Amino acid sequence: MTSNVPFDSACKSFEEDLVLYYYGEISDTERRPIEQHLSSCQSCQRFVDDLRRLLPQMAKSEEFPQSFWDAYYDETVAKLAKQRERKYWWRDLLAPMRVWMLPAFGTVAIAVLAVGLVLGKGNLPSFTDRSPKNFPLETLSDAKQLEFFESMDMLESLSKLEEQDDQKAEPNQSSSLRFVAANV
Amino acid sequence: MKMKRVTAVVLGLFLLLMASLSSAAGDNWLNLSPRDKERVQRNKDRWERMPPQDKERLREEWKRWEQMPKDRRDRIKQRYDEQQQRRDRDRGD
Repeated sequence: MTSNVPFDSACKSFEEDLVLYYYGEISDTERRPIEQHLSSCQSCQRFVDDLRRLLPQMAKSEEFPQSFWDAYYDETVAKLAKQRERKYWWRDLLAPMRVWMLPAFGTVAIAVLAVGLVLGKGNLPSFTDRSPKNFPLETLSDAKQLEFFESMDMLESLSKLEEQDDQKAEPNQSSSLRFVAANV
Repeated sequence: MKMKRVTAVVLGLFLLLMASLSSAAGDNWLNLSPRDKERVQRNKDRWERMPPQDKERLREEWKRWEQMPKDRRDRIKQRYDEQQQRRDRDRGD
């Protein structure tokens, strides 16, 4: 713990040298006049004493308690778990599925694809792009409906076609009647 | 364990049924010629936009067509195809 006691003020001309003296960073020639001054100046002595007392405490590295390291460990583990979760988010989608369901679905999907390919006579583009745009499946599966749409143009002129067919049938009938009459 | 197997089999059969239905539907469509496909598509679009009274008339014509004897149907169909070919030829010229 650091003390709140302020440094005693030293003589201004010696203050800087006293700090270097404390750290032992002055030559022997410089040391002698400082020591002479210290022996006669009490305020400078107190200043050096303060340096000896306070500086080691200020430079001391803070020791963290065990609880800090425990919390740090827990936080790191939680962060790593979260990162892993983000990386494999899709696993959450499959989480409700039972272990046996995934291979079962895979097998069924492959079987359906195989059957589809066989029925599609091995023609993959026709299998994947076989139904026309905007066409309901029930229309395609009902041959009658397809036939209806196929012959819609003809149905629109059905009455006229019937008339033409009747007109063609009449001369045939009259000629056959003439043939019968001639034979009689 | 038995329950799981039953569920898997039922699910598989259902998917197979859906696949075969879709395949049959696709086959009906695949058997059409490109020209017929184009005609079906065009007529389906026309049908969607058709007024109800025209739809009703076409439904009745369709019923009549279905009840016609086969030889008459064949004759009419043949006549219609001939007229269409003639029309296409004239348009081409």
